[in-house]
Parts: sequence; C-alpha cells; structure tokens
Amino acid sequence: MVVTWPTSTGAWQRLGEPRRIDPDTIFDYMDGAGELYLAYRFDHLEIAEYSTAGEDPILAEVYLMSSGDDAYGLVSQDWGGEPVALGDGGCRGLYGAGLLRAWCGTRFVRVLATRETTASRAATLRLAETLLAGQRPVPPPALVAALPSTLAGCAQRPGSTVFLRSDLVLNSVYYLSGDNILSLGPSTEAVVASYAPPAPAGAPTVLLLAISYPDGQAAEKALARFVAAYLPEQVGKARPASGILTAKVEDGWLAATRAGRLAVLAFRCPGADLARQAVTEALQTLDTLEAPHA
Amino acid sequence: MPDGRRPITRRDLIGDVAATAAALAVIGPGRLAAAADRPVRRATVTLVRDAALAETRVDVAVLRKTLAETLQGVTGKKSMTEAWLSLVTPTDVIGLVPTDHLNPTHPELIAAVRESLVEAGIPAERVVLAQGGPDKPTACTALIALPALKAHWLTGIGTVLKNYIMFTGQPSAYHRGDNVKLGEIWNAPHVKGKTRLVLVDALRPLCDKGPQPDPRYMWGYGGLIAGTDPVAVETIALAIITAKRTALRGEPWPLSPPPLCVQAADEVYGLGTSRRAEITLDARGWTKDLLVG
Repeated sequence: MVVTWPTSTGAWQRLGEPRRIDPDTIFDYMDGAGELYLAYRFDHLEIAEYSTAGEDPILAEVYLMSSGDDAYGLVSQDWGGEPVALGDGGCRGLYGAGLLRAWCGTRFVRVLATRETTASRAATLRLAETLLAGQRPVPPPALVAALPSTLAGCAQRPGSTVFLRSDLVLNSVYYLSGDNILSLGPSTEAVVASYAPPAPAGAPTVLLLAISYPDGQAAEKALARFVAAYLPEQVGKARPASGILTAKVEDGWLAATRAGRLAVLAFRCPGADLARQAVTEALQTLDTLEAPHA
Repeated sequence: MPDGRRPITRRDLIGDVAATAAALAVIGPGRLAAAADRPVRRATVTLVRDAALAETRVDVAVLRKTLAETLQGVTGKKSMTEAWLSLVTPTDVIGLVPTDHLNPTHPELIAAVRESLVEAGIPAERVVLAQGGPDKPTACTALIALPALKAHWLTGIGTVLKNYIMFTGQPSAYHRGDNVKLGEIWNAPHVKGKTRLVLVDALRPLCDKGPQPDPRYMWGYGGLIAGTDPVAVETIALAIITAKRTALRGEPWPLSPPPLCVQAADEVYGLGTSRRAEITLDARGWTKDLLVG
C-alpha cells in the first residue's frame, strides 16, 4: 500500500517530495544504524521533512517491513514512553521528548521533532495518524503472545519483551558474544524477556531466550554451536536424559533445551533447579505453537 | 568457529580485568598479546562544564570561553593561542575530525576550534575537515578528534575510538565482534601519531545506544572533555554515560554490547590507559550532576 504523505501537519509544511531509501542505500542515509532495519527484514523506507517559521523541523520516517512481526520487533527495542492511540483504527504509538514511535500493520513510523513544543507534539501525532492511515493493528508475534507471564515463580518484567531475528539485536539486549553463536538470522524468530525472582529484592532477573528455527535440524545445530562457543567444557559430554543442559557460569546458572525447531535458554538463574524449571515451563507453553514433532 | 579461533563471550567479561584482557588477546592472529601486566601509564583528562551550555541553543561566547579553559587545562598554557601552538604548528595541515551522525558534533564547536586555530596563527587553508576515507588523514600532519559523546548500539560507546572508523576505508571490517579492534585504526601508518588533541563535545550527550537518536536519552551536560590520551578520554566519557544510565533507571543499566574496544585499545593496542586509577581528572566549572569523580 502506498504511503500517503500530507503536504502539511499543523503549521509545518512538507519540504519537497518524500525520499525513498532501499536496503542498498540505507547506509548512505543512516551510517551505523541500517543494520537494525535489515535485521528486521526491512523492505524500504520513505522520509520527509516538515518545517515552519519559529519552530524546529519535524522529520518523519515510514519503514515498510516484510511483516507485522518485524514492525513489532522494531518497537519492542524500547517500550518506554507515553502510550498514545493514533486515529480510531487501533494503531498505537509511544511518545517521549519529541519522538513518536508507532506501528500498525507492516509499518513502523518514527516522527521526530528536533525541539519539543505543544504545537510540535500535536503536529507529530497528527502526522503519524495520516502515515498509518489504512493500516490495521496486527497481533504481537506468536512467540511473544505465547510467553508465560510467570516462570518458575518469577514474574515477567513489564516492558522487557523484545522480538528479534538478529544476534546484533540480541547483543544490544543481552550480550552473549561478538560472534553469532546461536545462528540467528532472517529465517529465525526469537523472543527475549526478563523475569524477576520473588526474592530477594533486587536480585538479578532471569533472562529467557526462545528461538524458533526453520526446522529441528537447524535448532539442534545451533544449540551445538552455542555449547561449543559458550560452554566449551560441556563439549563431548552426553546430554542429560531430560534433554535439558544445565551449567553454572560466571553470572549464574543457565539451562538450554530444544523441542522440534524450538530452542529455549534461560540465563542468570539463581540455581540449577530454577533454571531447569524455567526452560521446562517455557517449553510447555511455547511448544503449543509447534506442529507435532517428528 | 569456522576460522578456528575462540569467540569472546559474555563469560570472558565477568570477572577481573586480567581475565578480560586474556580474552581480548585472542582477537586475531599476529596481534599484540594482551598486557594485563603492562607498565603503569598516566594520563590527565580535562573536563570543563558551564550550565549555559546545557541549553539546546549553543551560546557561542560561552562555548569559546569553555574551549579556552579546556585547552588551558590540557596544555597548562595561559592563552588559547599559546595552547594551540603547543599542540600544532603553523606548518601543519590540521584535520578536524567531527562526528556527523547519530549525535553529531555541534557545528558551533567545530567553528570555534577552527576560528581559534586561525587566530593562533594557523593559516586558514591549513585547517581542514578530515572526517572520511583514508585520504583525509593521509593529507594531514595533525589531527584533532572532535567526536560527540554518545553510546552506540553496535559498540557500546561510539565516541573517541570509533570516530576514526572511516579512515580505514573498510568500516564493515569493524562491525559485529570485530568492533573490539577499533583501536588498531589509531595505529595505522596514515593515522598513527597524528592526533594532537581529543576534544569531546559533551554539550548534549546521548546515553542510549540508538541506533538513531532518541531525545529521551539526551541531556544537557554542558561540557567539553579533552586530553591527549584517546583511551583515557574515552574512559572518562564512558564513566559519564554509564553513570547517567544508572541515574535514569535507578539501577545499573549496563551498556550492551559492552564497550570492549576501550580496554582493548589499552591492553592490546597500547594507545593509552583505560584504568581509572591511572587517570587524573581535572574537572572545572559547573559541578551539578557531574557524574564522574
């Protein structure tokens, strides 16, 4: 669907025609940032600037993604900001300090007023509504929707859920390695969420990582690669009968397991039992998404 | 891994400095061994702040005054002219290396540096903008690094060391895990020894990683951070970013990915010191929310 670009928003007038940025030109537009959008299967981007006398400009970007999951993934980088409803079609956004991030259908919209004023806020919201016109909200990715709200007695921390496909994004949430040791990529789907143990207050959160690979073989291979890189002391050891690998590492216990094409890992757990329980419970919930395993 | 080397992982980074240094030592065949037991290095970093510079609009007069005090702190000279002439000479071709994306260096600062260099007797045509490909530093005999203070989503911090990435002509060679090698750029033959001053624009830093600027994570700090040791300056910059993130969240909010390039620049590439105990901070001016001590 073609993006409808208004010629004005509030007192701001559009400067020229919108520009189109494709995957092969994105680094010219945003050096050092294009990797994020490519990691979410970005199709193309349209941008336009608006200006008015006495106010700073407003920059609007519309990212057209391959799927609603990818648009959601971009927003999920940061759930902070004031939630805002855009139009009456159910589209939503997050606003803060002059920046609006919004998503609907397969679009992710970013509108930035360089200097926030009452007028720029209104113009920003109105512009986003127009740019998302005709889009319908889509549900969160299935992997995200299926995440349990509690895990081994730990409560999911609000705003901690990130949907991703790339090791670069994973590392920006929870650094594992400079290498892609879990073989993430465009054909994988993954979700990360933090869970707070009931006690003691301030204890490190358990981090759950669930990854859906194209097939069981890819998942098995990826877990083997992870073990070789992250748990070299476990290489060559037989996997426990439970199928759940647990290990104590420098920042707590971790557990890893697989069912079909789904791999589930828990990090920073306070004990081996909790680590095992966390991946078991997660797998029970998430596995309902899968077809029966061969 | 396909090339047989062991990847650096999170596990290598949790523990003491020596353990991390040992991990960094494997960043590539033929590189310098990490030197956790290297000789003591000393560096001084000057930080000058003015509340007036924490505003969105830059007060150019205050900026010039702050720049003069910063140069005085770095060089010990009484005037801006004396300070510049202790760092560069009128026969140098001086390349100013600002950052032009994410959180760009304020043009007012670039202009203030350029104007004060010319006032110090440097011919105007010998002060050039040098951000870009390898030809830029090659054409210069002296460089002044002028990055703005910011976090970065691929490298943790994207201020001093990353500022020269375009000098390689192959920035993609420093992406992903290879960003730990950013320090090697400063040792490249067309770059090594040319940097006379690192001057960080900390007027409005960006403390979260982006990859695009989010004003919620920018704040008025109103400062300039400077020194001749790029690693020491980066270390102070990193301390400010880290403290601001903790203040925002009310709990530790570590940069992710971790800024491994800073310690590697010290332990592997020998560019300067990343050890806070070896750095003397000369802080002047506005003290509110200094974030580093």
